Amino acid sequence: MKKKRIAVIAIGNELMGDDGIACAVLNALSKEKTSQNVDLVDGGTGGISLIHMIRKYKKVIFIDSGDFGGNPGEIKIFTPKEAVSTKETMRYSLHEGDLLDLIHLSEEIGEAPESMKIVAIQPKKIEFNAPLSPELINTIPEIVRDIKSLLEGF
Amino acid sequence: MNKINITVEHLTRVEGHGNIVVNLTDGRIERIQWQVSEAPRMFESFLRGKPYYEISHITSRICGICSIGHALCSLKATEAAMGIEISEQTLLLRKLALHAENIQSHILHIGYLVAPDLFRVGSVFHLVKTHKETVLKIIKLHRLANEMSDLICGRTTHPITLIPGGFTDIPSKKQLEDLRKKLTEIIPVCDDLSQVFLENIHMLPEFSRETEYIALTGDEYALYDGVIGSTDTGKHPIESYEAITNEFVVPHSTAKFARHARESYMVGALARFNLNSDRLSPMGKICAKRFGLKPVNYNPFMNNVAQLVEIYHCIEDSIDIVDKLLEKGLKKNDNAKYTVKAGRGIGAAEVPRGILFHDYTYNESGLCTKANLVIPTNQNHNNITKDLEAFVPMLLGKQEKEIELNLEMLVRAYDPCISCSTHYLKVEFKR
Repeated sequence: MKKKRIAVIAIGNELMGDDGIACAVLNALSKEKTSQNVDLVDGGTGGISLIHMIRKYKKVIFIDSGDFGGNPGEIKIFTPKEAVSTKETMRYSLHEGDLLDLIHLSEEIGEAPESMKIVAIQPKKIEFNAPLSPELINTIPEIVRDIKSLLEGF
Repeated sequence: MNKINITVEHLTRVEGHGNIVVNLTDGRIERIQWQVSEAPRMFESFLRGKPYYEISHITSRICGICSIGHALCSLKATEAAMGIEISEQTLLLRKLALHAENIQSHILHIGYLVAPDLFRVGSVFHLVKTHKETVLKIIKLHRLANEMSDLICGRTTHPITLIPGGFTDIPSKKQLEDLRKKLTEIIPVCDDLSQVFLENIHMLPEFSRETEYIALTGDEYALYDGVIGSTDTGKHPIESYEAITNEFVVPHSTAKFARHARESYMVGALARFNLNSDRLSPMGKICAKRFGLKPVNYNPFMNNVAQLVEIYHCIEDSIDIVDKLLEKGLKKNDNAKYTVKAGRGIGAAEVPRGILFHDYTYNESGLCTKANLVIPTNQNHNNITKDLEAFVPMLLGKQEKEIELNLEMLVRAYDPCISCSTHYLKVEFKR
C-alpha cells in the first residue's frame, strides 16, 4: 500500500477533564487552514483499533495528555522512540490506554507510519465530568501553532 | 497457620473492572468471591423519556465491543413494540452485521486476550516479539471484521446505519463482492490460527462442572433470532425472559447475578454450541471436531474453542448471505413503513458473550417509559462464582502465583464484558 497522507490524531476522553485536551486542540485545529493532504482524526481513547487506523498514513502526529511531571499545560514534543528511551528517568507515563505500546506493536508488524510525533500536554486534573483546566485552555493556541509548524516540517 | 490470600484487583485482559478474592487458611476455603466493582451505568433510567429512534443509538454505547449486538437487540425490541416488520433484505444485512461483530469480538478475545495465556506471556505486546506471524494473522482477521462492520453499519463501532425498520444506507454490489472475496481469502488464515491454538490447547486447564446452558435456539444456528433454549428445561418463549433470568443482587457486586433451573447458568459461545451445534456451518463443525468439542461440554475453558468454531460459522454463513443478497439484487429503498404507537416490545439476540434481552415500553408519542436490559455477562457472574468455588479446591497444592493465573484464566474464558453488566443496586443495600 502506497501511503501519502498525514494524520493528526487526538487521543483522549472529553468526559475526563484534562484528558480531553487533545479533542479541544483538534477542534481548534479544524478551524485553521491545513493542507488537503492532512486528516484530522478523533482517535477516541485509543485501543487496539488504532493500529488499523495509523497504518493508512505516511506520517502521524498524536496529540495526547501525558503526565511527564511538568507544569499544567506544559507541552512536550517527542518521537515514540524518544519516549521509550527516557521512560525510566523522565517518568513519562501516558495515562490510560498505552499509546506507546500500540505504536510499538504497529512497528513490530511493519505497518507503522514512517514518521510519528507525539505532542503531549501535561494535565492538571483527570477526573470524570470535570471541565478542562484554565491552564490547558490557555495553551490551546500554542499547541495549534506547534502542530502547524510540525506539519510544515513533515 | 498457612494462609493464602489471593486478591486480583483488577483482573487484566477483560473488558471492565472485576476482582477475584480467595482466602484460604490451612487449605480451608474461607472466602471465594467474584466481585464486580465498576460504577453502575444507569442506562435503563436514562432511556426513559427518550424517543424511539434514539434508543438503539444510546444503547449501543453500553459497549464498545458488542455495540452492534446491542443496537440490533434494541431495534428488535422497538420493532416488536410498534409492530414493525422488516424486509428479507434488512434481515440478511442485519445477520451480516451480527456475524461481523461476532468475528470481531471473538478474535479480539482469543487473539489479544487469551493467546498470551497460552504462550505464558503478559500481553499481545510481548507476544509479537516471539510469535510475530501469529500476531499478524490475528490482526488480519480482526481487521477484516472491522472493515465488515464498517461496511454494513457505517462504523467499526457504534453502528450508525441501523435504524428502526431498516438501514439509512446499504453496501453496493461491488462492495459486497469485495467482501465475499476477502471472507473467502481469510479462511486459510483461520486454519493457521486454529493450528496454533490446537498446538497450545493443553495450556488451558482441565476443569468441568455440570451447569445449565442457556442460548437462543431455532431452525438455524440461532444468533439473530430464535426462542430461549435451556439444556435443562428445553424451549421457552422470549416473552418469558424474566422467569428465565431471575436477576438478583449481591452485596459484593455492582452487577446483577442470575439463575434459572440450577444455582447458576452459563451463556455465550459454549452455550450456543451446546444447544445448536448440529446447525453449525460445515466448517464450524469441522473445527469443533478438530478440537474434540462435543455437546454438552461442561468445561468453561472450552468457551474459547467454541468462539473459534463460531468464527468459521460466521465467515461461512456470511458468504452464503452475501450470495443471497447478490442473487436477489440490492434494493435501495427497502425500509419498512410504520406508524409510531404505544406498546411494549421484547428483543432477544445472541451477541458475542451470550443471550441479550432488551425490553421497552413506549407511550403513544414513541417515548420510552420503561426499559429493562439483561446483559450476557450479568447472567454469567453467578456461574463464574460457582466455577471458582469448584476450581479452587483442585488447585490447592499449587503455588500461589499458579493458582492466581489459573483463576484469572477461568474468568477470562467467559470473555466477561464487565462494563456492560453493571446495574443499579437500590433494593439490596437497604438491609
